[in-house]
Amino acid sequence: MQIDYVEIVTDKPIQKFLLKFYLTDYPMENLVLISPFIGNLEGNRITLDSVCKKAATRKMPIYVITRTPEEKYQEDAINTLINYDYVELRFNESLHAKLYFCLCYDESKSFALLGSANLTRNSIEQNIEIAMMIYGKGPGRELLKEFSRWGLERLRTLNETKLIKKIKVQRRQYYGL
Amino acid sequence: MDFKQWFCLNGRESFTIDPKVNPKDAKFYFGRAEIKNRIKAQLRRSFVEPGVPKMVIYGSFGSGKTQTLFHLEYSLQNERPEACHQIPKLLHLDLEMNSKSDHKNWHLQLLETLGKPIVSNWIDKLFSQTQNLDLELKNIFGNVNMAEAAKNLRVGGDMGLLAWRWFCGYELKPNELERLNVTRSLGDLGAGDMINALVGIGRLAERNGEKLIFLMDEAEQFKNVKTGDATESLHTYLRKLAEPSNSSVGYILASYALTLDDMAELIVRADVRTRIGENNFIEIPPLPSIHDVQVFLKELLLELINQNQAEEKIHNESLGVSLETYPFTAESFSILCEYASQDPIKALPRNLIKAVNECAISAWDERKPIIDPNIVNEIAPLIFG
Repeated sequence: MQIDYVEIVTDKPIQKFLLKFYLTDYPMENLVLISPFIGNLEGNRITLDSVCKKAATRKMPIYVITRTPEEKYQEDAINTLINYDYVELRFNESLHAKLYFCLCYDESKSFALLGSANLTRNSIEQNIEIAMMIYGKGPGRELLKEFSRWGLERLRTLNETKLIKKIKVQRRQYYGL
Repeated sequence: MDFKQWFCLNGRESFTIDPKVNPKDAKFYFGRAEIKNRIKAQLRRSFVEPGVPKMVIYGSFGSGKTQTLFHLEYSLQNERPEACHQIPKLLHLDLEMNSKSDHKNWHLQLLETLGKPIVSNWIDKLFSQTQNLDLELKNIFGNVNMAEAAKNLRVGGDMGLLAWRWFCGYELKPNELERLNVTRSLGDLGAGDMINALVGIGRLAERNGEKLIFLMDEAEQFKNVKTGDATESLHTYLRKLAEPSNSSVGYILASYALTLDDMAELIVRADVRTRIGENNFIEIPPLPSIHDVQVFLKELLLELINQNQAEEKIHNESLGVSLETYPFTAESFSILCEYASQDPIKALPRNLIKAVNECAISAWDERKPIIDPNIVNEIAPLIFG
């Protein structure tokens, strides 16, 4: 049987993932970016800012888990992220995993990227990277659920994962009670 | 202390329910007694006439279709209807269709889900019970070629594999057909031929005291099929599977669809609908009222939270909340129910579970032992807003 739920990506995996996110037109639940190092991706086809803008337009949460920034490019990225209401930001100093996923309401349209690439310009322009793009088809759906449990629940609730910025959503007027 | 201990979770990492990961979660069907009872009543009737369930359930994303399938499996295994005289052999299958998929692909997916070892074992058992296996198999399958191929499933090695490939509908070479002692490949005569083989396998299961029932999720995949001929062949396959004469192979199809008209057209054509029966097309709706949301959440908390630990914690830390709504305060619980019910299409089990999880994560971030109204007011608009 042909395997169509996973694809090995060796050419700019981060760009491929972000492009897919950017072009996806299906209703999306959230975007999760897990990477020890994060940059603004200025000069690339899809920048961190454009990703945040798209999510903001759709009122879709972005969950970001990274390490505390040490270099300027990381600080710039954090400054971008904290400008957006729909971004949740957490730091974990032990983080080494690089996992990115976008969950859609129709689970078969969800997708993830798991591999060596950080969310940085270097990973797109210079480094030799390899990753697996996983789609929510067949067994891929279960993998995505597993990523979701790990990234959205387990990793976010580890004691050493510190919440830096919460999502800010405008409260609806509540008349109850 | 970790998240699990913080909220006295009952042997689980979070409030997420997934019977695919944790089979014990299949027993849960929170807050929807009416729909659960309706489906179970239809199931009970189906074992009287036509003898197996033939059912289509549908609903929006997150409405709980997959949970329904797993819960029905749990229910059939633990509270078998009186009219079901055999042990239900339930098999889960996530359908996969592409633009050119036809009845052969569907048949192959069903057979691969079933697997050769199970069928070979049934034939082995039959062999040990009968004096004349050839005659038994001819009676079961009603076809000489199928009986011959089935007989070879007992044989190990290449021959057994070849027989299985024949049942799966692969096109075999003339010398392979000769080795199997059959005159044609399965499916040469069309979709009906494959259904006859599948129903024959269903009868074989019955002879072994089991009832074959497929639980097929993601039937919206049929919409991917774009080729006219392929669609027609799939429709014929389903229609024949729906025939009253099939009392041996049951199935429950689950499809994303907001209304019947939303479903893949081949499922809802009049000839299929009349055969399956209008009462066997069942919508899994969002939770219709605030009361349903409350019941759903209370049942969920009751099952997922270790009641003894929670009671102790409430008492020791003077949390001032009732065990019924813990870790929510009475007020935050009411606010969450209110939010969830304001837009009926969003009052879905998936959203409710997500809301509970996110509220709990938020309380955990702030090291709060309970979920207060501020937290719900932050989280709920994100999910139900």
